[in-house]
Amino acid sequence: MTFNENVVTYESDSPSTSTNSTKSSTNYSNLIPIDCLPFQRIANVIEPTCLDENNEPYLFNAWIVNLTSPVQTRDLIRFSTHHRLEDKKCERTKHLRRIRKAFPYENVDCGPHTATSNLPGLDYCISVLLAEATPDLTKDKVKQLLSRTSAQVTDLDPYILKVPSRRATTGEEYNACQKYWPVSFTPKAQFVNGFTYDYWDVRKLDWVMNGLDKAKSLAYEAKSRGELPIAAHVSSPPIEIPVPPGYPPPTPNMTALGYDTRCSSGNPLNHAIFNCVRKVGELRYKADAETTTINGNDNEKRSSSTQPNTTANNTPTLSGLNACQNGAEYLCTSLTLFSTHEPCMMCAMALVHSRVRDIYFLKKSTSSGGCGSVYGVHEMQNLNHHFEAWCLNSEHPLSNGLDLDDHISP
Amino acid sequence: MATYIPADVQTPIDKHWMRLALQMAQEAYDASEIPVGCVFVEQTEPATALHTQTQGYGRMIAKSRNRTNELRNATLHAELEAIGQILRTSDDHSLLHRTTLYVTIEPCIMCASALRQVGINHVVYGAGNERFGGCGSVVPINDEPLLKYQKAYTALGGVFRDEAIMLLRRFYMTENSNAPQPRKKQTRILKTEIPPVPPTSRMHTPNGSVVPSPSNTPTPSPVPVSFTPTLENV
Repeated sequence: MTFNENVVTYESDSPSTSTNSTKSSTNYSNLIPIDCLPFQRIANVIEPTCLDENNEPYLFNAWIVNLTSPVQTRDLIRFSTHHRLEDKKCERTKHLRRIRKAFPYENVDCGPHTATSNLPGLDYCISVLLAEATPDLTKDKVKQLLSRTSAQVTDLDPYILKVPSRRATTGEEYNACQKYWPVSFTPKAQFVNGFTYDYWDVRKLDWVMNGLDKAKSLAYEAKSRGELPIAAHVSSPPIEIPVPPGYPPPTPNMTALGYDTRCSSGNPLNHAIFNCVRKVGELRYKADAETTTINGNDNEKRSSSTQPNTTANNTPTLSGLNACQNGAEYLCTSLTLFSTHEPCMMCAMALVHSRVRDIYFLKKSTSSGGCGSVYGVHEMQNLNHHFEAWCLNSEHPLSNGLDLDDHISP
Repeated sequence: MATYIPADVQTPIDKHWMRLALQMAQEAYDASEIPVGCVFVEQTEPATALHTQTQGYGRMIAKSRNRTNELRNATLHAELEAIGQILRTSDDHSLLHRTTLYVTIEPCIMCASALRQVGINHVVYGAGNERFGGCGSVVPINDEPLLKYQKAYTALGGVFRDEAIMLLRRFYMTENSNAPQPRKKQTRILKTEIPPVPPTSRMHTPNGSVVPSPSNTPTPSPVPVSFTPTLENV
């Protein structure tokens, strides 16, 4: 009954219907900006904006030269590209354009002696960026390096100019940077195979909401059996939902669920998420054993097997990746976990060990949570795997109920 | 930061039980598992029957080793296996509250949290775990004050640290035939030099106070390649 109620409230409150205006204005017919999601991403890593509070870009000093003849362009570009002076990796300057055409009378600083232009017959200045002006890189040293490059550029007079310190990700940032030095413009919404970190596909939102709904009804089922109302399940997204790049493909058709059994089992460590991960391990183990039987025996068993794949003798039943062979370090490779509560430290680390890709939960665990509340195990830099953690907004009707005592770690 | 007991103040009791833990780790090594072993020991109070019976050494209530490869489950660490055993076999809910865990490698964050949730009293480990350690090396789950509803426990390392490290090194010399693409490792050479205790750790003094270290870390003694820890030669 509660289950149905939730479905109804969810559909009437769903952002996928209420944010239609946003969607049409961004021209992406089925995408929802992450700001409009009913979710909060649990992350400390936020990409810094390129502008300060006065909407001016953050700046640093760089060595610039103005051309005195167009033929110098080639030498300077080569100098800038090949040497880039001290900064070999160009970490600090790679977002900056190498060459600039600017109009001094438009209040743009074009260096010394450039009231109109540095080149005869033109009304604009052409300048080339050489390198970041570090304390070690004195004017004499720059001139020395220039004289080594080519005789044509020996006599140029380098000067220091303030240039933007970061790339522009919006049109506003781009325009603000432009009067200092042109920067590369890389809009945040970059799509890789249809995936972007800045928008959610409508189908993804539906899938996540359904997943959380399922976790919640499972939690109520656990409660009716006398357990704590905590539940979790893993699955992989349907094929049509774009996924972030750089992850190995998940095991096809792998799903597992688990609910909290610490009351009936007497083991305080039988948490929902832990039970769920353990279930995945059992499924893989079973699948492995089946594969061994299949491979070792005849073809009849293979055809009667309920598992979908088994194309070749060497392919394990469930995993195209052969993942389970290596001590199941990849227990939940690229799978998504839905949980009613934020995992405790133990469960969060179990999810790191099993390489889950992302988790979604309904409620935070303020006194024990391992995904943001006490520690952020999911994005700890020393660990060898990180995953996304998303929490449903507390105002959302789906997160009602399921309250636990503060001392229980879910 | 991890806390180490200097070699000269380690007690015979700690050494005795850690030898057993090393035996379990060796058993794991022989079964092509990552060599980590552990022993859970019920502590004794002076003037109790158990104390006189065991001469203060306490009673072993569980021992275990890694089974991650065998059961295809990366979360089946030795500590969790043993906790499961204890909870299945004992009705005494306060048993773990007076138990010390001896484990060859510092518990990972997952196990450190599990140990805190079952209310363990004390943990002694061999070598710190700079990659996953949850008793100070990466995060100090054992005494984190933010976990206000879970009883904190003390965790000290350094007992047979060299032996635990060498066992792991010997394991990583072998070719893991369970890996998806086993790597050829014939060219690898077993290093026997043990690095000093990391500079971010503390040393534990006999009177219980903790002093910043490690100006005089114990000098590592070279360990023979074919070294196998047994009760006799450790």
